[in-house]
Amino acid sequence: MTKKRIESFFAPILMFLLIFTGWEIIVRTLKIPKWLLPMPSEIFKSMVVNFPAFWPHILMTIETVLLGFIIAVPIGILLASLITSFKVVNAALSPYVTFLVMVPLISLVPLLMLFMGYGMNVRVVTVIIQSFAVVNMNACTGFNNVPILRQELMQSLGASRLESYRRVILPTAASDIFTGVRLAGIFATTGCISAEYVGGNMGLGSQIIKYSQFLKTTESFACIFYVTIVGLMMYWLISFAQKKIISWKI
Amino acid sequence: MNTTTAVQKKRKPEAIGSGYLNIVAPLIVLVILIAALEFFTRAFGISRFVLPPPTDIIVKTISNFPEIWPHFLFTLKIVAIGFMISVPFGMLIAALFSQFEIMVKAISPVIIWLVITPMITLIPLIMLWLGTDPNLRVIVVIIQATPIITLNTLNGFTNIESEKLELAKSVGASKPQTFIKIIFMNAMPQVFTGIKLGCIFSTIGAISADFVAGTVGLGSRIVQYTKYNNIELSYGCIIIIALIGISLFSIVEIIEKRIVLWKN
Amino acid sequence: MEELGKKTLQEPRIKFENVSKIFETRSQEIVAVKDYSMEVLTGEFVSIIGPSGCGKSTLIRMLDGIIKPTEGNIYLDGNQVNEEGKMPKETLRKMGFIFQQPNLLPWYTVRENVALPLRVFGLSGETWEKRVDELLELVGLSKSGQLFPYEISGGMLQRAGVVRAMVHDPEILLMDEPFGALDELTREQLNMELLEIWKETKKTIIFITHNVEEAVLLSSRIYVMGTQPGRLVSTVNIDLPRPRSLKMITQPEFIGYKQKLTKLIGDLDLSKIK
Repeated sequence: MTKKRIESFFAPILMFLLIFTGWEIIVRTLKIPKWLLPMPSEIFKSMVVNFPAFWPHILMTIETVLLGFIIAVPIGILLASLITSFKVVNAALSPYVTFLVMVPLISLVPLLMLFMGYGMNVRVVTVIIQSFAVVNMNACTGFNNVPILRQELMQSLGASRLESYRRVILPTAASDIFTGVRLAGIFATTGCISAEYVGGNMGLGSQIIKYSQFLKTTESFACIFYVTIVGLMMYWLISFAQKKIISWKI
Repeated sequence: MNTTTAVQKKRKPEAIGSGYLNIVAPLIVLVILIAALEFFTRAFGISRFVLPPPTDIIVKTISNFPEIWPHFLFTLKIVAIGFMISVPFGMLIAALFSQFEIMVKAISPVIIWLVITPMITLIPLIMLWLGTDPNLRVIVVIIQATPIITLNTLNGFTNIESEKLELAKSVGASKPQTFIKIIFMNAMPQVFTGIKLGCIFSTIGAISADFVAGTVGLGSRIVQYTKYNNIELSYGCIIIIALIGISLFSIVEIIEKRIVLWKN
Repeated sequence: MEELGKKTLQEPRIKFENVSKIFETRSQEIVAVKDYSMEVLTGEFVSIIGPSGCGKSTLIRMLDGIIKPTEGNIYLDGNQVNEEGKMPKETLRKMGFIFQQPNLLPWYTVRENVALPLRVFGLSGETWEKRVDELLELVGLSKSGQLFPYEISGGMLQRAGVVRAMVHDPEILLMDEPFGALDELTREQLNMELLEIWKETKKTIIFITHNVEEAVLLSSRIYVMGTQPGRLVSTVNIDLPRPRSLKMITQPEFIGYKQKLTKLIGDLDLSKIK
């Protein structure tokens, strides 16, 4: 390994170690009570010891995030394909495509719960509405920015819209779409946790609220760390897919 | 050969750019959408619990506006203050860490970690630590919005062509000069991407904080109104929240157009 | 200008008849091409030369169905091609378009890029696949077929762009400043390769350039265009013997043509200043 690679491997690990040790030392020396701020060592211990209690909730959160995300991404891409295929529709809808991202759609959650109950469906719907918009926006950007020479190439061959889409438009937009998908991954976890906050007693979000109400801050933190792990899992999944799909260089 | 006399067709000149289409078409869509919703909700007697007619939403929201007003002001305050602190704060962190290559490497995964952790998970804990004063929700907004701004800004600061840095060296620019005139300006488009994402993260943060706790804020109003079957007012609050998000975004975009003149 | 007396007996392959193209922006109308007429015979190599912005690229894009003329008619083999709607694939198959940049798609290998027209036109079978390999061989790319575009040099990329336009065996090649982005040496070499291809395949070629020397070296006839609006100002026949080689560029005849054309284009620039 070269010096640079060693650095980029160990620097982050050291950083995390530093953060957690600093935290541990501060809590110990200042004798901060456990309910106020637990030590990282205790949080990690709780993550292991209480795993059986957490597991159904972890599973529920993962299921919700993944399911919502898997539905949201194709919806976003499909919608963007339709919008950008017609000049007038594109012009008419482009401000709304942006607005939809800028509106916190999670504000719809209480209403959704009114007619969908507190089950898993409503949380999946929350994840979908909060995350499809950002995929849609970035996909629109990608589809609208196909270099003119590539479009002309397909025109000179008399390619149909579908053929151009498959061979030129979609691959050109791929990296923009992945930018959107990456953000959608973040919005999906955030959306899921918000929905779990508002109602129901399943999922990590509901557990965080429950534990903090009983001043069980350690367990609360353990759940937060599991949420982070869910987020990380999404992040790696998306990065992996991107590397597999975009195999070419520009 | 020159006897071929086909009909001379004169076409309309081809339009470059979309002209007024970009302004008129979206407005038409808005009008059609509202009219269609009005028609369908009334004609098919759709339950007002699912979707009340738009006119009912507008009328009831306006007549109850004095009641909503303080909550609107509160949410606006939380989002605006939180956002205005997050932007310079996020950029400052990025600027500091970008000075040392080793720090960039060390801190980048930490920032990604912060970005992918929904900071709204900390809301119950923040209430535990700092009390239930609703104004503390500014903290939620800040910790939700700052990491994404830092992440994008840092990317902007570190992705710079070596030619540009060499140019700075060749004219003998000092380190602060290089940073302000070359690195910072070069990163502008990405900085603005981060700020725009900061907009949405701010509003999401504020609304989720309202959900968890509290009797103030538009988020808590939505929960309350829904509970008491004032569906029209719930929708009214959602529209107001949407307007806050869109206004914030539009302001950022106007500023971006003033500053980043070289983009397109 | 010289009359094309001896060639009038033959039916023109391509004919532009008073073709105009007007673009409209929010504030004004831009006349890209005004009242352009031209006839090209089968197997001819003609160039269109002119300063940038004279609409020369617009001309061949109109012939290849990429954009539609505002006024006038374009004929291919006596059939009007600029009818309403999309140009049929059978018509487009007769033409191959070579772009200013290689314009290869980064997600396909060099071979897949060259074979792209076959896929889109729906031409399959062993003969066509063999043709792809032959063309790659012709321009020295047979070993690079499985590489991706970013892995080969600029000259190689442009060669791939040239043979891509030929893979579906079009009778007409439309070339939009194809070697403009390359260095002088590669450009000269590719020009000679192009002459070789033209000699062997007897294709009809319309070549767009702003380089006088290149135009004289390659063409049988040169159309000189002026700007604002883009219009035909002059037609020059090049009666230099074939086959042509790079050695000819020092001969007095060649220099004579070059000076004549340079003067024509120079006068254009002056008239614009006035």
